[in-house]
Amino acid sequence: MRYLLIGNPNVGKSSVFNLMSETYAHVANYGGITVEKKIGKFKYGKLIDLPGTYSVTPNSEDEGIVTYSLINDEFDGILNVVDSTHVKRNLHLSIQLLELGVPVIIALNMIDELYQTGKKIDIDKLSKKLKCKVVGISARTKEGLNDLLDNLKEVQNRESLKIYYGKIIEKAIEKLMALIIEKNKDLKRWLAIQLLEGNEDIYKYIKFTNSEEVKLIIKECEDEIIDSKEASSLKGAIFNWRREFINKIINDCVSVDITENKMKIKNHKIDKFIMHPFLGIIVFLFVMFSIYFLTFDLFGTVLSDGIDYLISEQFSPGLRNILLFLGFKDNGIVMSLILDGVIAGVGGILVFVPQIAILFLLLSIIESTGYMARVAMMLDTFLSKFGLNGRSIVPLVTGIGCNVPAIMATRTIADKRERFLTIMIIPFMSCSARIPIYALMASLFFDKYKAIVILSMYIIGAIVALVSAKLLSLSFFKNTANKFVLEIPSYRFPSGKNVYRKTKLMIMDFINKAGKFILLGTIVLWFLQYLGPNGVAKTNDSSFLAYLGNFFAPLFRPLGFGTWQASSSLIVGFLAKELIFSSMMVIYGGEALVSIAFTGLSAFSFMVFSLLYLPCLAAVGTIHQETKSLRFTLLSLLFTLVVAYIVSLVIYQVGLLFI
Amino acid sequence: MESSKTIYDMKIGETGIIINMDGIEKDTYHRFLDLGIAPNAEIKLLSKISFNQLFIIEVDEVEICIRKKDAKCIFINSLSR
Repeated sequence: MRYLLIGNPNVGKSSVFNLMSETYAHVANYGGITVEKKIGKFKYGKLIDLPGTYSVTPNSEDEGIVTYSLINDEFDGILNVVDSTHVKRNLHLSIQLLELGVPVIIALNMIDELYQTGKKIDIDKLSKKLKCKVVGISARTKEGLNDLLDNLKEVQNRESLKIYYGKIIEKAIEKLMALIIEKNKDLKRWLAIQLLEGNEDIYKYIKFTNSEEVKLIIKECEDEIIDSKEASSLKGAIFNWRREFINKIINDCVSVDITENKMKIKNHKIDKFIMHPFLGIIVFLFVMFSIYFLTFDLFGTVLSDGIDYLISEQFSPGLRNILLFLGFKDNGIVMSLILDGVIAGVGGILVFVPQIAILFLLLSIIESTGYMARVAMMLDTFLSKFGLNGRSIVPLVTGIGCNVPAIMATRTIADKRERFLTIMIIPFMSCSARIPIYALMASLFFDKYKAIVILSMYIIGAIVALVSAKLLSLSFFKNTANKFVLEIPSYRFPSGKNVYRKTKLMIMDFINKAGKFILLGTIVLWFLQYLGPNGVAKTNDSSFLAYLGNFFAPLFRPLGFGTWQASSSLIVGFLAKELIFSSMMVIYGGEALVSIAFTGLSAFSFMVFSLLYLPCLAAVGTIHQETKSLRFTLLSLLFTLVVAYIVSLVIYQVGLLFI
Repeated sequence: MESSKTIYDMKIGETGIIINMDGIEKDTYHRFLDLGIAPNAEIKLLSKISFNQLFIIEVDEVEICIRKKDAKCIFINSLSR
């Protein structure tokens, strides 16, 4: 048995999925689409979790999957999760599923909350009106779950729901049905309605005898609707007919026992405080600071350091002894490749895991309480001035800790273009791995103003990020919808199982996908450092890395640091930004020699360049994992290089005028 | 019964019926329909936040946040006296 799990956002669909499925079977990719589907095993088969959507007609790429699955996927039925406290709106989607004529089971979730609001739904009556099985459940209390499972045991065939859409639209439906090459009559009618509603994705999957004529019929129908003043658009007219149908059902099946809704009043009181123009910001800063402290200070760093210690101090020397015992030469090529290449690479992946785990644990807890939606609203006005969305704030602020989880955190941004724009500017947020190089340069050249100089890096990073967002939204991302409509979820207590599942999925994703990049990159860099044109590099300046450094050095002359040492350090820094510091110490041969090689101005220019140029390899891997586009990944790399070069150039050249 | 009053002009706590929202850009219009913001729908203005840049309205018992720009394009007939 294969069931598609479909429902509106915020109806507890993932809770139902997590409750019913024992294990995640796997996460699968759709061909050509960047969104993933989660497949879980349950007692009687498989559940395919589709992204939350308000309508089958897609509004974003995510939502397009529902149309894709309904037409192309193999399935035995649909499990439609409906929020029983908002049946009126949820039924618009249900109707579209019921019109298809395939087996549908409706799970009225949060039935316990409905009772609290003083309402009752006559489930049997509703079931008859909709011509499908309806079960009241609560994912929180597990009420009705067994009943639901029993109903999923066998396919329940049913006749399709037929709604009358008025003379004009019915005429168009008939005309369209004649042009669709398809045997199943129910599917034909469904496709015709979807086409009239404006579901463009249908054209991708269905063949027509004459697709020009299809478009003409739709156009004529829309004109007729507008001329007759039935509605101001075709979609609006279809919406009206459905709404009428739903209102009748609600009148028949839902009884209200009017008592004032206490939950709502409580929500408003919290909202007033949390979204207050000043207090709200303070609450937000406090929440962000706590997340930060827990992720990067208290637990994350300790655990990351612990893993680092285990690998570099325990595992690596142990393995070295084993290799020596097996007869490999100390510091020989095999030994070095395994220890400095492979093991260092694996370590480079694992050190990120604790931070990602803790951050996502905290973020998903906060997300599921409903607080995140409020933060998005509070900051939307400010961020919209830069072409961003209120939801961009959390990833951006997280970027100050580490860019990798920040890029993953953009998943909450629904609009694809706004999400990509946010991903593109996250690398400018100064992550904690950049601190060592700031600390070195600042203490060598700006002793008295150390704190101000380091702080200025964070400010420059944030300004560059916002300005780039603005410029990109005016050029490359010109067509970003820049719309913001948000359904405000009620405050809810987070479910432990949901939070756990979400966090686990994030970690597995990171290790599987971004991990490959990091491992490969580490090995390539090892190769560049270990070998030179004359075989194994005996000195620092005879490796391929030094040659590359020499090659790029002239480019950096206008920025004030045109030496092979500086450019080699930057190349190594691509692996991980904290390595800029350590490789400089090695290549230059100590702090004293670094202090001779730079002036105050060139040191500052170098710091700014280190801040803005290429995100580290782990971040690059993550960008690729999240966008699934090599083109976009390369483009974002090029973008950071250009921006870094321009900003450093301006700083150095303008600085020269004053010194 | 043409009215020139929009959500932007509503007082907090006021209810009204949407009569026209044609000025809204197509994509946003569709999303509004999905959320129940449609001609003939009853709405209530709950609050304004971010220095009156965002409007929180209630439609079919769902709270929805919209931008000022869109609030100015949704014309209503007031129900409150």
